[in-house]
Amino acid sequence: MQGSSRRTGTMTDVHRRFLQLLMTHGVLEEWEVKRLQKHCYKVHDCNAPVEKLEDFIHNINSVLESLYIEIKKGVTEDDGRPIYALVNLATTAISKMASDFAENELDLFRKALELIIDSETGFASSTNILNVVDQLKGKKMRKKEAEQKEGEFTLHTRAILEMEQHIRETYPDAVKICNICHGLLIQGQSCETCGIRMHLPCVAKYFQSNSEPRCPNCNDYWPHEIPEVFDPEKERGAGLSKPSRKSLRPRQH
Amino acid sequence: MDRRNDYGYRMPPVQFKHLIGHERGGRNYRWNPWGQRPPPPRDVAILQERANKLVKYLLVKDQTKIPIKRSDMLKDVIQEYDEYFPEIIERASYALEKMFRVNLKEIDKQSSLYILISTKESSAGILGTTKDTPKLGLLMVILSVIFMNGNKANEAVIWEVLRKLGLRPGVRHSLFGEVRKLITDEFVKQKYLEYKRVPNSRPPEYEFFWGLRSYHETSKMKVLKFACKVQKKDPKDWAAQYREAVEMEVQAAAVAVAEAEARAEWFQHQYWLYWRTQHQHWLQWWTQFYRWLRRWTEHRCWLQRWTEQRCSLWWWSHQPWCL
Repeated sequence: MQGSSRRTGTMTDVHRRFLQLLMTHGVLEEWEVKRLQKHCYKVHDCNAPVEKLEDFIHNINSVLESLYIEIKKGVTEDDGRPIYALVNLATTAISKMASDFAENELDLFRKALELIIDSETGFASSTNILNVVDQLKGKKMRKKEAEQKEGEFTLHTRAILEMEQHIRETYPDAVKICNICHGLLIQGQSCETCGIRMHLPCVAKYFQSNSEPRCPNCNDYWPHEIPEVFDPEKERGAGLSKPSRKSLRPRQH
Repeated sequence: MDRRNDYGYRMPPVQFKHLIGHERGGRNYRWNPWGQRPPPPRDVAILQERANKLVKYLLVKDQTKIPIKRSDMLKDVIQEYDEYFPEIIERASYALEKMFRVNLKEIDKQSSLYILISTKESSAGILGTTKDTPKLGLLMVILSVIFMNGNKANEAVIWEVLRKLGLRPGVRHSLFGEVRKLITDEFVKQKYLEYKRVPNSRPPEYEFFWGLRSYHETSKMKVLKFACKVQKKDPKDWAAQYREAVEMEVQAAAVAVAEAEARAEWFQHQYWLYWRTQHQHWLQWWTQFYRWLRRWTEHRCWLQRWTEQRCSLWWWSHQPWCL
């Protein structure tokens, strides 16, 4: 019986619980993922040594390979926080979602996606989206595919992780690419003279401790403010009361 | 050779063993495009690929918690391999267990509804709260009221309890939204509760029962313990309910054992089929050899008898009294 192929990794109950919990939350930041891993080890097997996170996830991915899904690591576009999410690698992304959403909701999503990609800033204002499909009220998408920021919508990192391939194939001319990492770009900074774009965290890393930031392409002065490189230690030290989407008090039930 | 079903509608030549009841005939019957062609040959690689697709399909569809219909699975994923449906679904549930530790259970054998449930005990200590946790808490309260009330509860009784928690019909709650819609519509669709009209009641009254999913996801014992924890009593104080809860546990254990045995048998059978295909040539050779051996032993017996006969004849013929 070839159920799950065990080519490179073996999956124990620890891995399974981790996967289950990651799927429940959808998308988690790196520190949450580390905490989750420790929690899973504690619940099942206190004695086994805690694997390194990359190996742990690589183990799980090798088992999930046959299903074409993967735990992917991504970086949020606005402040460079590393996040992990379970994504579907098969390219029939939209048609698979057809089982969850109604036809007109899917349509709205497709049109909103187009607007976001075509826009300059990577944001599409809610009025534009509302104008596109006027019979639907502009409701927030359930799967965190759209994130709201003062009446404007953009794509959540999870959506970018999952749909990067699909977006590149469907909108090859309109899509924007970061000059540094060559990944899909929705939000970012652009040089005014030559027009190249870069992600905010990529900008931060490239111009780290550089007093005179210059564009890598045309060597003109970089006109925008250089953001700070994301430092997980500083983030944790600054306060555990940072505003997070859900309350994270552990609860037994 | 026209087969007609009970309604007098013509049925296709290929019988759909896996469609049941109302799906087989009648006005709802939809002509499946692959019904006319002969079933495709058994190819393990394609069956496994369909099983993998089915796993992903089930994971996505289960997000809303509305039970998945067998007909939907057949239409969207399995399509022309519906002959192999039992095998594909067994492979898919094996993969689900191995990778995600969830069970695929058929909660309604008559209308073939399936749900995904996490194996083992509760996922105790889910890190943090998710958006579902408050709803499940409310559900637990309602289930305990229904159980303690004798497995059914009038709508009025439920609203009494909810009023004490600060929930009123028609008033939007920050976490639950419209509470009435939640308990009479969403929970019913997800099969957590059943909402039935009391027969012969005017004006119409409604009652709540436990739904099929609730029986699978939790147990009467757990609900009893929850209710007693709230009331700060011992579960054994509620004698009738305690007895019922114990009975239910025994039944559930027996069902689990039976399912495990059936599963093991199925696996054994599959393994035997697989083994047979792998050792086909050897088996053929062995059967031929066995036949030859039988023939040879028969021939030897015959030869022995013939020799004996001849020998005895010779002996007799050489006796002094014959000569």
